[in-house]
Amino acid sequence: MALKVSGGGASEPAMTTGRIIDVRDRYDVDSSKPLPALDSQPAVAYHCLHKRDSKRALYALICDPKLPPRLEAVGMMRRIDHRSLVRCLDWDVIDWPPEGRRCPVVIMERPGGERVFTNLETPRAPMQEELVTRHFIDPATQILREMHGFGLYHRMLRPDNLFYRGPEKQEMMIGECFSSLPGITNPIAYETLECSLATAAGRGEGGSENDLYALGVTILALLTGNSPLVGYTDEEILRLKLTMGSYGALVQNHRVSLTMMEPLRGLLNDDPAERWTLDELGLWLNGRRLSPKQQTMPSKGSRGLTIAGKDYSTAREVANAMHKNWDQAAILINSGALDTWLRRSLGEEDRIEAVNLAKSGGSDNQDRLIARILIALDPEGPIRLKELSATVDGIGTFIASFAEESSARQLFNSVLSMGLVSFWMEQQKKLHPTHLRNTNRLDKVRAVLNQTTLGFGIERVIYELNSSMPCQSTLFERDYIPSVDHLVPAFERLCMGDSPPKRLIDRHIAAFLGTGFKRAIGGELRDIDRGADEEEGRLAQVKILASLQDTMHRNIKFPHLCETSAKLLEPAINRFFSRDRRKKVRGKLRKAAKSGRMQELLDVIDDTKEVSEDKTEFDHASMQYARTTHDLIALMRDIHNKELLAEEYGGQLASATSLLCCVAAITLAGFWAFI
Amino acid sequence: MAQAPKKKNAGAQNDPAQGQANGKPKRSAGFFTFVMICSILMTVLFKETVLLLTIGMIPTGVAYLIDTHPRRHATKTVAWANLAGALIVALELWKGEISLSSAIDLLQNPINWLIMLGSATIGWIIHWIVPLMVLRYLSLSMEMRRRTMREKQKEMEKEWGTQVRGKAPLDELAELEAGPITDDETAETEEEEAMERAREEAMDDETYEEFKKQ
Repeated sequence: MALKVSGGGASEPAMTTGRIIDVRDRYDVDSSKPLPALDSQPAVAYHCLHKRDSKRALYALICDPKLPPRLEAVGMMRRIDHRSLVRCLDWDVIDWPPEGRRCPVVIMERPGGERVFTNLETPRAPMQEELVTRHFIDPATQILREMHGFGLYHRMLRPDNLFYRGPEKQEMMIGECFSSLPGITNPIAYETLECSLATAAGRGEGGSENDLYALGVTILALLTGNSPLVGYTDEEILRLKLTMGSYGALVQNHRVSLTMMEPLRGLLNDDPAERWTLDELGLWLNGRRLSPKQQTMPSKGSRGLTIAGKDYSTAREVANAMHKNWDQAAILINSGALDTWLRRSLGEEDRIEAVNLAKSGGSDNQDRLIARILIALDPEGPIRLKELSATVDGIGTFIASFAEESSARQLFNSVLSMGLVSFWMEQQKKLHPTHLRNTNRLDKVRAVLNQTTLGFGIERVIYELNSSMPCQSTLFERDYIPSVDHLVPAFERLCMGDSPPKRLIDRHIAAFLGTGFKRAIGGELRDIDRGADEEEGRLAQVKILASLQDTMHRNIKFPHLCETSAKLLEPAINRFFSRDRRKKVRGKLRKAAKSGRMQELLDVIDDTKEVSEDKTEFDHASMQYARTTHDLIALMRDIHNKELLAEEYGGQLASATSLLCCVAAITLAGFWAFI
Repeated sequence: MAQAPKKKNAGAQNDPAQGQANGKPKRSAGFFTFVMICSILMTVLFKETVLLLTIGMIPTGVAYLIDTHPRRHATKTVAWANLAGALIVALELWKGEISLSSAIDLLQNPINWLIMLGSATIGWIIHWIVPLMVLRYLSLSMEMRRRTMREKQKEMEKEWGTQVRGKAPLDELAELEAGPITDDETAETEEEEAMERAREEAMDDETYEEFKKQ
């Protein structure tokens, strides 16, 4: 389940189309002028001009639609005006010819100087402590304070995301933080121990402690001129962090002054509760000096526990090793080797009690038992179940990233059904409000996940847990729909093409609407679920889009969408029984399609008065038909018995004729005889 | 062979004679006594005329014996015609001297026999021709009605689709339409007719009506 990260702009072969793309009528992005120096993987940078102020130095970051950017963060970042923060001006979704699809773009102010670190692998000259403090730590503290005040966390603090303000290479600026999911592109060295243990997609949004940790690593990189632990594998970095603690692992043999040691030890503390806060950093910046606080290292066993040929001494190391060797973990637990090591070697009563608690509630399912024991051994760590390893707030991003993989979906389902989240919460010494919020969200989606109807299921879970996730419908593979208000215009673009869609609402769109659209559409979704190709299903699809148009684009016309909808509704004309009426409605429908308003289509096809009139007339016609049939049956019987009838009627008529002739003859004879 | 009684029964439902038969008052013994007394009185008072008419109406008696129909249409038709002939001869009697010898003289005249028998023959001719004309008329009018109703149904189906059929008993109709509807096709075999007649002869009017109802 390796997460693919799109390549940078420099490697894109089709970037020389020379086309100018307009952004919100204010900016022109030149797709023929890439700016690889400003790329921020996975986003690529391009030259951008302000239409009214061409002297303004701008650049456009074209984000990777596959790795959705944090567009909700852009709005908040625009409100932060700090000279040491690369300012973002606007965002939009544009047609991007080099990719042949629509991509999100963020317009940024171009920093005056180059990157502080060209990349993490390339070392640079160490910076003086005073310069680091004045030009980085101080402004970074201010910026982070402001961001955290908005409930927004940077999660991309890295030396290669720092720019010089000018060519003099003194003042520094912090780069953008929204081109990808939080922390997903960070090297493991810049992530806290908890997030390092999770897969990249499962790190979650994090909090201030993540930003402060990354700040500490960045300070260290600036002071030493090297990104810490460059050249080490993720496994090695994790092992170092677990055995030596983050400070020891990252600093290694570098000389750090006593002055800088204090904030570094504070920021790189592996205990989130002990880690410095912005207030403590502020006090330090204001001149408070204390002796550097040593990190309390976790208890080590008197002898190591051997897992896959290696010895591990701490409970966290053992938990990590057991996760990496899932099959052996079962043997360790079942053979009692883990219990023996915990009692005789580690001797931590809390840990023994937690493991016993984990065993008491999870013996029925081996995987559940292992996952619970891993939580008991490392309560601060991520939730781990086989290949899944994610923090509580990272489970959402994890499933969003691997939604297409059935194994990932199964694991996600198992995490929820096994109650691992609630057990993780039970094991926390100190509960953070965000943990409670995330647990509630996960509890809520558990019910949603088990529903298979349209608008629910895994698709709904993805959107419920990831507010920045664009609509993943296959209809919009070449489009990007960050929010519900982009949906109807996207349909219009789709319907302009050669192959308009046969169906308008699929599972992803239904789930996306279920999450982001405030109007109740449950009835319509049920109708679609019963049969999208049935008349009711077709009507329901158009009703939803009409409702969207009325709510969000009241004054905008969508003729192509209306035309497609009219075609979609053609079979729904069959709800009218009368052929004449159908013909009339078809004509009206075609006329309404040209209006560009979906509601007009519905007014034609869903006219209750017309439908009821048609029904009444049809019932009347049915009765008349039945009556005619009965008459025909009677007539046919008469036809079959017409000889009998002719004999009867003929006999009567013959006797009547004879009587008349008799009277006539007698009258004539009498007249002749007597007169 | 087996269809014959069924057809008769089916046709009986729409038999216009049925109502007439049902409404026919049952004649009491008093009625017959009254008729007998009147006949005796008439014979005593107008013996010449009664003799002439009795002998002149012999063809009607023959028709009565031949006619097997419950309502005896042939007898009635022949009777009215025969009566006309007999009365024409009786007028001759009433015009001259009314006596038994005059009546016998009239009966001895072959011309008078020609008049009486000829009129009875005309009655028979009427009896044979009129039902054939009625049959032709019924065939044409029923076919026209059938076509009109069929066209009406087709128009309804064109306007409302086959759904308009609803629960109409089309199977029954199709079954009836599949059967013989033309004159030739509907003609029953002689054997069937004979059996039917024999059955009818064995019944009186009321039993026949009940049979037809079934």
